Amino acid sequence: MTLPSLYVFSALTGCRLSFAAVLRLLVATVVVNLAVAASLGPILAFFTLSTTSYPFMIVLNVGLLGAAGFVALGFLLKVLRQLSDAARRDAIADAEDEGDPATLARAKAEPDSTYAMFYIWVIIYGLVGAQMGWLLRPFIGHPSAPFTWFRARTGNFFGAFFHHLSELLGVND
Amino acid sequence: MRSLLHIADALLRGGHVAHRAALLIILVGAPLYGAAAGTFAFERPERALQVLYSAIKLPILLLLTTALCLPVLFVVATVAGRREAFALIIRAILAGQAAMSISLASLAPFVVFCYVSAITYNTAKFINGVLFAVATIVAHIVLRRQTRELRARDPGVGVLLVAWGLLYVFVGIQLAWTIRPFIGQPGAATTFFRSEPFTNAYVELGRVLGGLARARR
Repeated sequence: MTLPSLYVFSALTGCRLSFAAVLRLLVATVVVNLAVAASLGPILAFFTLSTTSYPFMIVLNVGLLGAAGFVALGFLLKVLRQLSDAARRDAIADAEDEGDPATLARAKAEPDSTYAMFYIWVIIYGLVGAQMGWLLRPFIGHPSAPFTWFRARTGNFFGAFFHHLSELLGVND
Repeated sequence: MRSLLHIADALLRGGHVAHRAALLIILVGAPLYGAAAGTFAFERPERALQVLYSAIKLPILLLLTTALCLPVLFVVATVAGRREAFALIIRAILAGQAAMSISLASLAPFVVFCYVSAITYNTAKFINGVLFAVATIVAHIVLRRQTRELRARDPGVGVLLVAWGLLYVFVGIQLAWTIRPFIGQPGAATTFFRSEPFTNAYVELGRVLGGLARARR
């Protein structure tokens, strides 16, 4: 869902990546996300076995998956930074070969903070990811509710998360 | 035994120790503290069982917490491009756990002294909690000392280790709560685990704090 916008943002910032390369990059990011999430599996399993509180498990899952997401996005930004640095070096090398001082000055003046645009994309990705998790719920399953594949499409991730968080903190009882 | 003490001394002074020696120190040092923690209200012979149980459970607590937190450290270190440093980090973590065991063992006489001074069960729990916090800080200091060169070369490792330390504390508290009692409530039957179903330490803590806040209102 966020692949088109990632491609558009990367094209805007002059990252000479093809659509297939962006797709590859995004798949690699998802793999990193899953690997980190899977490595948190033992901790989650231990807490699942020793906890009866449903809100706590929800908040813990959000925390662990959020941490995995941050590592994955850090990986994505690192790769993009390396790519844009490489592109910048290439541009400077090209300009030096040409021997035109104006082109060289322009290549050197090119701001390397263009990937700041990607932070916008990261926010979009995070929002979509969180809400997608909400649409596909339940993942844990309320202890007293019967088993279902999906639940009715009501509410949103953030409202529910803060509801459970406040329930856990005992604010609204 | 003498050589083990020499190794422990070298570890405290910043030397490196082999994996096996660190493991041995954990398996000797942690039970010493566990046994001391289990001597609370030691007036009936069956309370001797608590000494044995706590001595068995303490190394389990340290090693299982470390084991639960290692997979994610490995994956994150790999993603962050620090795979080559991982062997060194593992060695430093084991050294930290060994130092934690040594400091716990050194505090064992203090625990017994506190118990002899006729303190209440709640005070005993509080003192043990504080001593554990101290030992955890010692573990982290040794962990940082063992990775000093690595961190000087690569500051990212320091961030990784702090995050790991926080995760360790988060998991360790819940594991300690799950496999309690370590002290054993006086008057209650001595058991290896509590017979009631497992609960969550943080939820219980929230309940206690919530109760206190309501009582104040």
